[in-house]
Amino acid sequence: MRILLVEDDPKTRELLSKGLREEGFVADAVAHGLLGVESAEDRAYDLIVLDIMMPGWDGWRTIAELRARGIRTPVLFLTARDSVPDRVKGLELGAQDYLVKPFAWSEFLARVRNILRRQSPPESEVGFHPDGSGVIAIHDLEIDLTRMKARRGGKPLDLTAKEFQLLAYLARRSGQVLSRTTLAEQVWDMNFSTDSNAVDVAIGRLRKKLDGAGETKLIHTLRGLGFTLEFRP
Amino acid sequence: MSTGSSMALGTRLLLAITAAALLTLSIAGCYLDHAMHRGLVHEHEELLVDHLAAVRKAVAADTATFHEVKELLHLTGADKNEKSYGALVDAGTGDSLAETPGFRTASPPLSAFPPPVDASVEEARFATATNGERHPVYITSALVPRAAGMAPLVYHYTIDAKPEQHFMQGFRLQIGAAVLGGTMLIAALGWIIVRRGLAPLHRITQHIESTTAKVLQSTGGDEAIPPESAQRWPQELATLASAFTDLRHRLGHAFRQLQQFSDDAAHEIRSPLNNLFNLASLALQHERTPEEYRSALESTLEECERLRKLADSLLFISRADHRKSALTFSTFPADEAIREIADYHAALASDKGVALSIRARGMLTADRMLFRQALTNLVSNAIRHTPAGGRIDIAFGPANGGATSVLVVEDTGEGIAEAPLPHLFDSFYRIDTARTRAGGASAQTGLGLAIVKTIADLHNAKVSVSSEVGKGSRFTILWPQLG
Repeated sequence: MRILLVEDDPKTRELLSKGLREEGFVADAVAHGLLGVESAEDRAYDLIVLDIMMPGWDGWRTIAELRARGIRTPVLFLTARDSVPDRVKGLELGAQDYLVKPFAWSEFLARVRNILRRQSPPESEVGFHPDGSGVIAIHDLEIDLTRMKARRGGKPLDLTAKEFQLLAYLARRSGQVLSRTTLAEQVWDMNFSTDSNAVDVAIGRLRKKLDGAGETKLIHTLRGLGFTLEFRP
Repeated sequence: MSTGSSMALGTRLLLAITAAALLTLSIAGCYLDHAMHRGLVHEHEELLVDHLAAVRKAVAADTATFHEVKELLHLTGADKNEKSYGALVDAGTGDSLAETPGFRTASPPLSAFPPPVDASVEEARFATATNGERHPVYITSALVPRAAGMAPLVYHYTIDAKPEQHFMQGFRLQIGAAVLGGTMLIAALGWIIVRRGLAPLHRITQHIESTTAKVLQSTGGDEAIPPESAQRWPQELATLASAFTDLRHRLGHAFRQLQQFSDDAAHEIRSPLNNLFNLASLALQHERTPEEYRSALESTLEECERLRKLADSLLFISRADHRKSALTFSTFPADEAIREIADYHAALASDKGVALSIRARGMLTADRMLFRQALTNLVSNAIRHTPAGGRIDIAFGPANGGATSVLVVEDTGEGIAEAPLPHLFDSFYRIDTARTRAGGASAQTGLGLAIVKTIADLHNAKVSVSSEVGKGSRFTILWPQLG
């Protein structure tokens, strides 16, 4: 998949492109909105990552120009400003999502993947149906999304509703590193930073129930980054 | 900076005073002119009365030859004092029986005379006409009765009005000069009065203009705008002066708060920054194993998280005013929102052995997200300061007969001492810095309660806290009922 990065800060450009390439994406980076529009006209991209605060053409101007030229590529806005009106404005102008700096790499990646997934049919989810039904199987873990029940090695897991939600979220994105912020946002709808480590504790509880004595750990902690659920033989 | 091109207050006042003076003096002048004129005419009338009486007497004395009358008229006409006087007596036919010399030239033709008035001479009013010499004259005619059976005579009377006219012209010029002179004098005096009158206003303006950031910084805007000398400001300006003193006071206060906030914020940033420096420089100090580098980087990330949270919180608090317009109000069941938050903290509370209970009823109109944020901060604080075995009760319901709703987060925790209570909601205030810092990975920003207060302020809600060391604390937010 091809991703176009329009960002004036050289270090950010470098880091993000490098990270994307390491994840297997083809990444092109430009420093100016006009260059970005021209590049998008030259070749088809699957996603355009657009910084808002740029000298010359800012993000608003760039996306307006893109849309005016009939380029429908999904856009992910990056910005240091997080005012609500800005978010609304971004979405109205045709952006798919919005990420506030500073952000963790894993968050960025998660958003990128999210937008791309929405554009094309999902491939990575095992037995996952878009309507939210189906069963996810990872190693000996079975999650029945329809019945909202989970089993490990055949034994049913006694989970609270929230714990199930958390498990399902992690499982659907098996292998992806999900930050505490992302989990707080997506599973608990907490869109603001909190002082507590409630997510850690919740993960801890889930772990206790999931990765019981002797069983292979499925939930892994990546210090400083977040958590991931995957089978590591 | 001026708005539009309105005239200066002083100029306006001066013009008004001058106009009033001009108007008043003009009216007085007109009145004087009129009075003088009437006075002169009245004199003529009195003279006429005398003359008529004399003529009637003369006629009565000699109704045949009219000798007396002739004598009378001649004498009167020759009298230097009566230079402007002319008279003729005839039988109504135009044939003169007696007349003053030069009457025909001094007087307009007899046809111009008004009809003779009867005996009562008070009714005689002068008419104006021009005589042969083009002078203005007053003319009138009256009946002179004779013995019964004989037709009355007609007495024609002329008075040269030119000298009078001349006099009136001069008089009017004098009045005009007086009016103009008076107006100019009043204008001059007015100018002095206005300048003096507006001087206090200028002084206040000067004081205001001298209120720079520097002044606010040093004095905190605490001193009042001083009045001139020992006297107080005049009534109209006293309110203005006191309003500005209040304004300066508030500005000074806000200024100091802002400074304090900036200082604190910069200070707070130093700690995590310091950690980052150390982590990186220490790691580079010697050759390390990949695991050690990894560990250093992971710690770095944690500090970055901490900084990010700080930045978010700082921005939230400092941009609260802008946020006011960005609030999205909705009416929602309070217990739904409370449950979501309690849910989030459930695992944590349970882990610590603290029981969470909810007792909520009613709807709340507020920005839902901000409400949840405020509640989260209160609950996480409560959990942090409540030991195992304790409980945290969250309650919500109407109060004051439905005028407000109250949210209470009460814990059986360690409580807060008397002294820190009033400062609790200040930014960065931490009661026990050592202990709260020991939180480690989830180190607190110290802004949790400041954010709660900011959110309350945005909603015009009131926060309060009561606490007893060893017993617990009780945080209350009073939400006004909207809509």
